[in-house]
Amino acid sequence: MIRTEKNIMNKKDWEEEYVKYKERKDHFKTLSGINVDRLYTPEDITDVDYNEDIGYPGVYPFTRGPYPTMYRGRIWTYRMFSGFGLAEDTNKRWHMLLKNGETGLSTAFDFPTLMGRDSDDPLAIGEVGKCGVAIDTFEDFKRLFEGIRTDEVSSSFTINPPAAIIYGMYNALADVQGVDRKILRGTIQNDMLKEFHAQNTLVLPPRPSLKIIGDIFEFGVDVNPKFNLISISGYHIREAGSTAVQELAFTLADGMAYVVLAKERGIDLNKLGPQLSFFFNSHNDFFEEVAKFRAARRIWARFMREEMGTTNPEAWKLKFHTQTAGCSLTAQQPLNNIVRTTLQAFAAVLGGTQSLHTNSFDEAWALPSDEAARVALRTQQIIAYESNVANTIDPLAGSYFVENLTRRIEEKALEYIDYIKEMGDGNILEGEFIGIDQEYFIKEIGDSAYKDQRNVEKRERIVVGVNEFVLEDEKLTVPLLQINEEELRDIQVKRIEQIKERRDTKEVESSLEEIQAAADEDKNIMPPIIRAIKALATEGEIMGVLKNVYGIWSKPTLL
Amino acid sequence: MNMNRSKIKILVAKPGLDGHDRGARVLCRFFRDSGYEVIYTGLHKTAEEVANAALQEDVDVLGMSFLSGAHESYVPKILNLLKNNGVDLNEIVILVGGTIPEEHFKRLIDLGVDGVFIPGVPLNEISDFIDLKIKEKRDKSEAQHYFVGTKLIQKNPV
Amino acid sequence: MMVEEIIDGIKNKDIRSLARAISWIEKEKDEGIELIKNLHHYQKENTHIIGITGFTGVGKSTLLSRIIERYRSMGKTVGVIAIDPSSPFTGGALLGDRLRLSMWTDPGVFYRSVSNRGRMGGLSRMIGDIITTMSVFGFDKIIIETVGAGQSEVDVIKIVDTSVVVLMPGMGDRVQFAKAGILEIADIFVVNKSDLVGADRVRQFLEEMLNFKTSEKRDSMQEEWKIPIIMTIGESNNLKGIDELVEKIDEHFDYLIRIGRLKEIRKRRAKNEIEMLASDIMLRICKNHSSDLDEYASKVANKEIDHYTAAKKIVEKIMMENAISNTSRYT
Repeated sequence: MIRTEKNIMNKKDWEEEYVKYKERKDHFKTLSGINVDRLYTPEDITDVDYNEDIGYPGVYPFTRGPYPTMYRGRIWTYRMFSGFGLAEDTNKRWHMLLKNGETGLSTAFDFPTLMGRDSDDPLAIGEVGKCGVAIDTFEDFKRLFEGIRTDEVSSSFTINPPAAIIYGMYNALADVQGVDRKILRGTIQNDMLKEFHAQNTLVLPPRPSLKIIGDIFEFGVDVNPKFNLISISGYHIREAGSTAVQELAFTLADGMAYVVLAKERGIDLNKLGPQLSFFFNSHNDFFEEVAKFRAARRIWARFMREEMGTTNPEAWKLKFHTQTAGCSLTAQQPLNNIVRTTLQAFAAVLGGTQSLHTNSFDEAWALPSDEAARVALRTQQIIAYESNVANTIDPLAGSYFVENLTRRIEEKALEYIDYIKEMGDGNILEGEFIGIDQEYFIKEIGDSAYKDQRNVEKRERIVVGVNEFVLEDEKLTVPLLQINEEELRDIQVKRIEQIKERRDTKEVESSLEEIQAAADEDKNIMPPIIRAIKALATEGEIMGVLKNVYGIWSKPTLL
Repeated sequence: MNMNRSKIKILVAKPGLDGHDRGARVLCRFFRDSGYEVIYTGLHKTAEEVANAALQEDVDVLGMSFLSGAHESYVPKILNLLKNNGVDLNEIVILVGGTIPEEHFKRLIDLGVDGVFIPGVPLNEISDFIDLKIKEKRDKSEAQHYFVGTKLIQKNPV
Repeated sequence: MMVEEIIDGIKNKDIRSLARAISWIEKEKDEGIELIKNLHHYQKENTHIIGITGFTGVGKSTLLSRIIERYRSMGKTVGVIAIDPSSPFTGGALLGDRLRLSMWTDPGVFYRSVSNRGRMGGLSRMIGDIITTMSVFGFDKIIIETVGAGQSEVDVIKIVDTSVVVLMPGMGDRVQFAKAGILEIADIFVVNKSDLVGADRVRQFLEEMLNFKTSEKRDSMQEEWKIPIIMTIGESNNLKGIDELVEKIDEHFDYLIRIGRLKEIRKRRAKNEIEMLASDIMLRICKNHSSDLDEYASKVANKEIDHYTAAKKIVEKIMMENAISNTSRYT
């Protein structure tokens, strides 16, 4: 055993003895700006109690994971977000992915669909089938699921303002396939708060948007008890430039606001709790990301149990999907993105994610090509089967650094959450509305994005291939997925025309009137929406009714 | 920098349905902090709306951000609208930024775009390019500079 | 483009020409002066110039959009000049929360943002020139939108015919408004977002203030304009008070014409402009006499003479030299 002149008994002794050694930088920080010490010891986790704060997988507060077996029981779901072109193009890609071992479907819609507009809308020009699949009517939706049984797969839908419509289509599809709605599995994103904060898929004003989410909750707890009725998303908040702490804080605050909303509507939280899911980003700062996921579970469990008084342990568990950080991908030296994605996926797995999307290396350029999408999926399979990290649960627990960081992130997130609650005089849902009105979230996220950009320019944050290790005269070429938008738009527009000719106009009109009446009278809009879907009303028509009743919303442009 | 940036008016536009405005917002803030006058269109604008704003505001620079691939439809449409309304494209600096595949660079430049910027280009390089082009257009100088992807290139008129 | 071309363009309602003309004025180019000289007599007689003032956050842009919508439904054309603050540090400015979607392509609406940068006294003169140009173009209504911050913006509000001041509940800005002198020059008050708590408190405060004001000048012989307080909501699903507001704005204009005040206002605006230009010219000439200036400055520094006397002497000397011609680009 090597002995120094001084007997080192604690961190302070050691630092005094060794601080003379010069280091690379004056300060080391996480990507979120949390200070990182040179060393962590048992002294740094004295405020963490093992049983109370960390505990066991499947046991409150679930810091180590929501399930007792985790990946020893079942590997996380490979859920690759995909969609492009017409419904039949995406359907083909889905069959390819399922054949290659994908275990859950995840739908990317094109911008017109996401905004509740039909392919023949003037604003749809240039966008039909481009960044996702174009869905205008139930006919398109049925084509999307050609040869896929709703009782065999779980399906996820990234859709927000028109969430009720797409969710309605899935239920309608189950009816057509003769599947009991009660056994449907999947997720509808349905998270409007993060749209107001960051993602900007905005149609209706905040309060009506939340009213519709309440309708989906109310409908879903009875009709689709196995379906996640919302995916409370931090992913987009992070992509818009927030820090990891802000991502965690705003996402959980949004989640809390939804729970308060449900409570105010008289929905049974013990039933709703297990039908809430989360969606996080996994960025480059490896340990910070792992700590973020662990802190998320702890905060959520305590909120649901202690603050909301739920008694169903299933309602305490935070379950989440992860996507690796799209904003971390670089156009330069695109193959490097495979490595970034691998590290980010690795953090998500060590953080205990339930499902995972890994980005394709060419996504800074365009939609992923077949090859790039396959490599991304293989990345997950290599982590799952070759690295052996899935063999034990939460292997980073007990690391002085990771436990300390989990605690720090938890503290900082709770500060934000308290502030939002204060804005609403103790009601976090009202705090969200006020924060949206005062542009609090937009400003907070915008400030972080600007700071980060400046850091990259000052080279305080190194981005390999961009501001360091740059290739001179780099030829920037990657094989691209080509989409002929004009052709797709023509086809979709014709389809709409034909459907409008042959459908039962009276039934369409009467069902749209029923939606309008339900909205006017503050009743649940889900049942009349499903009726309108089956009558082949277009997405744009249904959304149009809601816009008439509730008005439209646009984001303020002053920065 | 001798140029009086406060007399340079920039319109930052987000045509189309794509709501990713992180880049556009960071850029607006940077432009303002660098001394320019900046107008941001906000989200979800049609080609007509963008062209009309550029026309009425008589901007010196028109910057358009695309992350959804919609540049293929919007850029030609907006530039045509400007031309049809009597705007001399040689008088304004036209920039396009976002996820633009390299195969499209040439097409955009041929349409009359002066600079195509992909993610990762330092903001200072964008403002330097604007200053250079403004000077070039004002002096009607012979040498023509373009920005493609991450690089400034010089091209003599054919 | 040549000045004549632009003038023809403006007379023929060419948007491109109008936009360019405003740029010349904004950028203080010689062409701008040439333009005004050749254009001013084409101004329309009954252009109504409206000011809308209110701090950021009161919902000004939305309200403005509503007012324009109303005017458009009445068949009126509208030109907007939106003044935005510039950063005192970098000089950079972020302009315009531009209008609602439908108006961006409406040929009957023209919207232009202008920064208030570094134009201490000159802002109102510049806006005046833009108004002149827009009036020739032929808009029925010209609306100046401003936050009313600082003296230069208050000066701008002073040149409009009808000044609308927008407040909202819970701003706590009573003091700020009073200080900026905005409350003094309102012809119409608007309490926007009037569905929020505290709207009645704002109305009450305004009523008290107005009662105090009218009791001050009761002896005036002229027909009095009773300043209305209008409660509005600009959000599309809950509109309130917009028609009433537009009615009052137009009523005020009729009132100005009826009592012959419009001519007075135009004259006051002209007087202001002449004063400012004249002092500009004097300042320039004064600066051209740099040797005299130097000489007197030394004398003041050496306590031989005071600065009041020095200034007077310089002006006397200039006038004697009758040097006004050929020294300024304004002549």
